[in-house]
Amino acid sequence: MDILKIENLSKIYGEGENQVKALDNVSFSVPKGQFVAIVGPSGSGKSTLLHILGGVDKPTSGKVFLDGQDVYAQNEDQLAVFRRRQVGLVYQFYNLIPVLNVTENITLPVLMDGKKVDKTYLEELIGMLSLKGREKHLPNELSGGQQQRVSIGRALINNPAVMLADEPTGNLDSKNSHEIVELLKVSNKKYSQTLIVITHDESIALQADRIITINDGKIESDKLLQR
Amino acid sequence: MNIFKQFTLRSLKENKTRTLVTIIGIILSVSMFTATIEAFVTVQNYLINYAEMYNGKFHVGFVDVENDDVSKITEDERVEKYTYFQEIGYAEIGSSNEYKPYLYIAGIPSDFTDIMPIHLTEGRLPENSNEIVVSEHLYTNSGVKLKIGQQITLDVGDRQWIELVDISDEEYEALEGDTWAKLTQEYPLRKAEGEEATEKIVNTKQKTYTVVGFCLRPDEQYLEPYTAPGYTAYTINEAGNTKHSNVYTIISQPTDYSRFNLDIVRGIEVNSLINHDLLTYSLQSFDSAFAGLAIGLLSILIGLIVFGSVSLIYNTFSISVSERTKQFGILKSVGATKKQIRKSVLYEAAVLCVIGIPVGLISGCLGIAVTFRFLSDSISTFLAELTDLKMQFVFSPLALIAASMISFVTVIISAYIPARKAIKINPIESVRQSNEIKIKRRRVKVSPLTGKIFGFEATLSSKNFKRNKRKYRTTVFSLFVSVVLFISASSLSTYFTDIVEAESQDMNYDVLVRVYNNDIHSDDDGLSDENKALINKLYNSLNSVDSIDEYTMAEAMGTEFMVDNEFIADEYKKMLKAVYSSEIAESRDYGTFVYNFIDDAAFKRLLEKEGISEKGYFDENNPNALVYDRTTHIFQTGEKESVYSVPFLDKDKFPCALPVSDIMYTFEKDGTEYYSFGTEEINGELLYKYDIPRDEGEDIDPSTAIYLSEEEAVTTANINIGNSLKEKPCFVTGQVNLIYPESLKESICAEYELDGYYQMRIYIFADDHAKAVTDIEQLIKDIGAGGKMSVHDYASEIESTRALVTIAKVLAYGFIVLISMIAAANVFNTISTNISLRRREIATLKSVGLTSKGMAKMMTFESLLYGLKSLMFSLPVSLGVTYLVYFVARDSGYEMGFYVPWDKFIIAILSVFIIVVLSMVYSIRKVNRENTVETLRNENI
Repeated sequence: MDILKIENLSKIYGEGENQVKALDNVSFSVPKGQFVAIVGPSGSGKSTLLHILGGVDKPTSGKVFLDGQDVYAQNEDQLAVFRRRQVGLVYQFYNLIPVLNVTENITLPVLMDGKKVDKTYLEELIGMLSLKGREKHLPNELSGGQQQRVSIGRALINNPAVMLADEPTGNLDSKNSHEIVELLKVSNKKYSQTLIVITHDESIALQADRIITINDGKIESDKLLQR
Repeated sequence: MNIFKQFTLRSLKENKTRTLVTIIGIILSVSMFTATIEAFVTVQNYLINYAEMYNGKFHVGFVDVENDDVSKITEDERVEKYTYFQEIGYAEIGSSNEYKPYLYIAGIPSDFTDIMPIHLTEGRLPENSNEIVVSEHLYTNSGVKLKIGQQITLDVGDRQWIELVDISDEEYEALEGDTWAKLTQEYPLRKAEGEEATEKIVNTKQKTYTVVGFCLRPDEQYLEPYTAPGYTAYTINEAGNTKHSNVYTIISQPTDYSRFNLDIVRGIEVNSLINHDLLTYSLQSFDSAFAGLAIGLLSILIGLIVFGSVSLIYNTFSISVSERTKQFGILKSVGATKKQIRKSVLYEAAVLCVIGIPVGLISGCLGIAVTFRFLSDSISTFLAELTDLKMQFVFSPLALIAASMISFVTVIISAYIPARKAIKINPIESVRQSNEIKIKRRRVKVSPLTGKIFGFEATLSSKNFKRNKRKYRTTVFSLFVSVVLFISASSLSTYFTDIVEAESQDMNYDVLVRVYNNDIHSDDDGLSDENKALINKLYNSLNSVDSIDEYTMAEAMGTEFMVDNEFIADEYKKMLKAVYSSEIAESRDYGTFVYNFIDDAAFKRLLEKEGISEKGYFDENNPNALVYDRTTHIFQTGEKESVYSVPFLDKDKFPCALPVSDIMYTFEKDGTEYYSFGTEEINGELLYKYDIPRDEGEDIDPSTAIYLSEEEAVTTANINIGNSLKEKPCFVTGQVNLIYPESLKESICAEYELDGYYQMRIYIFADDHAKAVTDIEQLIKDIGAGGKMSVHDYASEIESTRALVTIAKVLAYGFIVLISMIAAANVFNTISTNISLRRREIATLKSVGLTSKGMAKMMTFESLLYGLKSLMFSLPVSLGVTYLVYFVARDSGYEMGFYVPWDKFIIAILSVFIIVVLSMVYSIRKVNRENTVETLRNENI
């Protein structure tokens, strides 16, 4: 079953002569549980694609279906709730809230929902993220790798249908990078989450089930890796 | 242009709103500095002019200096300029004031008025030693009338003790005549009351003078002492005059006046006069409260402005610098030196100053000039007796330079401190910005209750509030200052207005004319027939004065009567009960009754005004009385004062024949005077005790005492009371005021024995009261009653107090508005920049699913925190200050209740929230307009 379906997605910035087609009529779909790596040179449109998938940016035309739901048919507030529950986003620069501690940052989407945090799941998550003992730390008391693990925790807390990661290891050393990728893979397997990762790192891309290469806003190649 | 300058200019352009707010902040603070300093200079200049006009331009003067000693003063090297007047002599002038019988001829140099004032009211100054200018006081006080151009021949001589007149040289020796004081203007006339003067004018020479002008009475402190026996007349000093002089000096170092004064006074043993007003106003002397108060007030104001502007400008710079920390880092990493970066920040400050300071100077000058234009009338009314001295705006370049300097330094300091911080950071750190937000866990600790009650957004906002504590503190503090200033200044002016209103409430006439019985300036002891005739004469000629709108003469006579309990008002009884916690003990109580006789026409006007028919009021046999009966009673018990405004008589009984009674105070029997000694109950009968006079505390002696029964001791009568007046007439003074037409005076006075209190006064209504006063004074002179009557301009007294209130209000509110604007700009700046610093955080929150509703909730909560924090401190402090103001106001002798200025509180609360919410809404909108994705990806803040 396809959890994610993209139809004729286009994103155009600017007008007239300055027009830039960041995405040009892109279509593809992702079955549930698949680990997709999106690669491509700078400015190819891969980040734009990821943000549109995550519901933070709007396409100029085209549609995104998540679990059968037309994402951009929703209004701003519905979209916000959609992001909160269906999507987990991980950024290169972590984007943690500096005044909140580790637990609070991880549980942020749940707190926003006004729901009770599932303590067992949280503990399991913190254990998996090797953040035990650092629950009360503020982001500026953590290393880069730890901060990224917190942001992964935040992405996972609501058990979203899709996890999107934009260069999650771009700011980390190789040891930390390795750990983060392992983490993403574990959550992909354990919670059978769909995982879409943008990366420059070939070694990461090669661990995926599928590699989509984007160039000039178009899909250049779409390869399934057989293992 | 150097790259750093370009970089600075571009970043200023990029952050247009913030640049604008900073410039507005600079403009506000510069214009406030300018306005404050200019106002100070203007008022100071006015006061100096005022002092120079009334007291003269001299610094130190010396009285009665012997001729030989004059040069010891004038040749002192510290003296820059001097003038003098020299005694020429005294002459009998035929004055009606027995203590001021002389004309005092003073010889002055022709340039006397360069330093000392002579206020001509008519004519010109003397040009030679045959011409004189005479003090107007001669005419108003002594009744001696001179005309311009008139030649007078006087026997001018010296005052001499009568003991030393016409005695032989031996006798003179024996009496040590040399040691007797020289009688100068400093010595009042040697005369005891009711006796002949013990001095004489001797060595007279006949002199003829032409009167060329009149002047105001010379200043009593510096020129003609209040008790001086001669009216001053100025002429040009004759050569060869060797008598003593008063010398007035201007010294080159006015601050050294004290030293100079001491040196001279010790050297030649004379009395000195110090022009304290001039010295204090020109801030050369710090003896008086004025200098201290003025300087203190000015420092407080400037302190407040500096605080407001530094926190505003500092905030702006610190934010702009921290936003640009990364850019500084990049610049440093490519080789910019610390000095270059510092220069770039200072350049930014300079650019802002170049725009802000001139605009601020202009607007400050304009603002204060316009204010003074509006206020100049009020100020003159308040300060000047002579209305021709108007307050002029003084353009002082020095003040402007001072204002610019203070502002420039303020801006530079505000710019430099945050820049230093940015410069210290090492380049890589600033590029990474890892240091930008250093947060301690404990600092952002929020009670879990907050989240439970108000939701997760509240936790987040209060954590943010705590994170930026220091920045928020300045904002909260500037709000605090504004609120406290606003509430305390407005409650001050409210109390002040209340006092003025209370004072003017009793004013139901504009001008009061009284006749003096003698020179003691009072009419309390009743009037002589001569004076009654005078005031009647004046009254009869008042209809010729056009400036008077309406006038009434009232003759008031008072006595005490006892009134039966049933006729006494319940309010009065209640008051007695409250104050003395006792019922009216006896069946009756004393009340003061004042019979007021006003002319028939005025009486008719009064009836008409109150809508009462004339019937019964002009009935000679059985006349009705109009009654005004309401008195303010003030009881003082320790610190507490209680005030009651109650009637004495029960109005419900009117009209009626009011039975009144009076205990006979004294009677004569067999050639002996007996006096009342109260009552005593003997065998169940109340008897009235009388006896011959006894010493205080001594009881009566039964052997001489006489006991009378009620019928014998108490006289009774009925007073026919008609209507009660609703409005207080201008002339009433007593408790129960009975008002009758003048034509019935004789018959009523025949019926009742009216002793004790007596007054005869004229009450005048006039729109142009100042003119009315001048006209009446002229009329008084014309009917030959000069110096015997007083004309009291009550309306102008009230006006000048009102003027003071206006001045105080305008200045206080002007200042409050400006300081509040600075505070508002400050709040706006802090909040908006703070939120733009948090752009990325907000974007993250949005990307993980914060709805716009949640965002609004978070921001509302943050606004609430700002508002509540500042109000939490400012409202109680304001209440305290208001109480302090109330305390001071009450000390001034007016009874008033303390009240909480709720309206001001509500205004303050609303204003605070409006400012905070507007700033939030503005900033959030700005953040919302930005693309979330861009913000997220942009690693710069």
